[in-house]
Amino acid sequence: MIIGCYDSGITSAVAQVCEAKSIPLVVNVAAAPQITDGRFKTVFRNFPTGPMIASDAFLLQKEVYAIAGKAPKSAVLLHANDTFGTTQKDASVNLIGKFDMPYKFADVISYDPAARDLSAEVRKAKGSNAELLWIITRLNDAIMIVQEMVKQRWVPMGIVSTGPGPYDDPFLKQLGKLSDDIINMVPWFDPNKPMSKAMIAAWAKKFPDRTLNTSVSHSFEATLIALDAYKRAGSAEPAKLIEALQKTNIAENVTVGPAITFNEKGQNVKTRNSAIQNRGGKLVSVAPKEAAVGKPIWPMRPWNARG
Amino acid sequence: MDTVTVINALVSGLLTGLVYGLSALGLSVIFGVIRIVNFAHGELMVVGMFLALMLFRWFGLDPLWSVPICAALLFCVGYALQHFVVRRVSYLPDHMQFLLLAGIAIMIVSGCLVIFGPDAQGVQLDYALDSFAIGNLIVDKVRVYAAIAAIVVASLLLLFFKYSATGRAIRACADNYLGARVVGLNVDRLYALTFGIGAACIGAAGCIILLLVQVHPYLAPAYTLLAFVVVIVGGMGSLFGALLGGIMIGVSEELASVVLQPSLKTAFSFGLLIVVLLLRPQGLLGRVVR
Repeated sequence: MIIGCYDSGITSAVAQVCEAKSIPLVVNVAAAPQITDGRFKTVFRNFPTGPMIASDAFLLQKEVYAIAGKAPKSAVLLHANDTFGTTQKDASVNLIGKFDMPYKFADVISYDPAARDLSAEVRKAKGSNAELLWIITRLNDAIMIVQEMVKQRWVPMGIVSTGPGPYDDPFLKQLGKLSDDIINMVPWFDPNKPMSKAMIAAWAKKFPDRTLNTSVSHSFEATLIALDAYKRAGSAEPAKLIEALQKTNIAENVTVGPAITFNEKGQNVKTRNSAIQNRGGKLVSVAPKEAAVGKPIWPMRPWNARG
Repeated sequence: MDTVTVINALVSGLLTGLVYGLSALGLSVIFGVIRIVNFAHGELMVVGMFLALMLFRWFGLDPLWSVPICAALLFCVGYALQHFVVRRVSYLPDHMQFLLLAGIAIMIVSGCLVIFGPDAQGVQLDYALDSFAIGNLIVDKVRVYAAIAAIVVASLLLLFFKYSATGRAIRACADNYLGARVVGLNVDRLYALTFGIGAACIGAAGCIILLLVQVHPYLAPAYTLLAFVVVIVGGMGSLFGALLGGIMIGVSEELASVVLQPSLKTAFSFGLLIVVLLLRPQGLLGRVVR
């Protein structure tokens, strides 16, 4: 059994190999919808697809705006043009009409995640005069985007992210208070669940200087799924493991949502996202209500007004 | 697209283009005199960037103040490279010279990977996120300082070639190799000096570019390619051409980002290269060689 692979492009390639060799693949992190489009019988994903992330992002934003009492009237989407970023962008643009959002997309801007400089992209985004900046990034580009926003003195109403980068430790450490107030609408763990509390405590003890984030929680659950399947299969034979994975039903878990189950295409369609806000180097869950431990700061504070 | 955004893009492109121009000057100097295309250009720049990074980490030295130190060190590297290696293959066909310098480039990248690792690293300066505001025109400080430094270094280089005895001697070698030998100039030494000066220029550009971007070993090929585009557009062997080419590329990239899509900016600058090659293959300020 293989667990992996974080990058959607790589996971797609690995899924094909696993299917050809009848080896079960438990996907911990990868959002491209085609990974569980029904082609593969050996792939099981406990991570939301791009459309699921986008859908939840709209619902979570509505909850945040309702709590804050203020909503943006326009938005600009700035995304990396890799497999993940493009998938997310397509989902966000195609689904916005179904959620009766208070804003429309004024512009959609793509960039090369390996770019050395994102000043032009941020300038174009600023020129759209949008109140909300929605970013879909990796780590280094997320850092560059915020740095450019500070240099160009652009303070939108808020920044939301539906990808990695803004919740990663290097982002929080390098930017310090400039990383605050960004809301990440991403797959996350529910800090109120008993197993989550045990996971958080064990992580804090073993890695006191590292933040527990999506990659950790979903890798933890992928391992849980693999072990559970192995126990029920009573064997390491791939065929028996696949059969056991199809019948997965894990009620005691860490992520937001009900018990872990997979549909006929190997996708857990019930897993949900959270809205996680950066605060003083920490990550605070602010929505959905059942997984929240704090209230959102919205609109975001000006760059030079953060203590 | 509003006027303010376009003006901000133009100014940013101009400032960035000056740094591009400086980075390409080294390539132009070396080709203009020695007629060798330095395919290790980007790699030497990355070495300059890493040197500036180390000086910042060890001594807290701002990369701008590291320019003379890195330029001097890269001068020695360039001088030694020409004297001990490149000179010995100058009579070989062009593709052999390319292979030699490409091999040196790979060795440099591998060495940087071993010493510094693959991750992007940068300098954290107090003024890194500051900007100047003149009405609606907002320009970040590092870009202004980088452009000023590029102008200073390029000016010193141009003055050197125009007014110094050594500079005139180097120009004589470029204009007429046989004539230079006949009048008794030590052409081998002057060629080594030229390569050293070109490398010094590249090292200076590396220090300045570190203000704008983070460095990692795999950055090198992108800057080699950029330098080629700049000098081909401006005219290979022309110092003013390199600066003009840099400005044109910088401005065209910014305008393409604003008017079209940012992800098309590199394609736009290559499109400009193709147009120049078709209409004026010697470059805007280059000379036709008959």
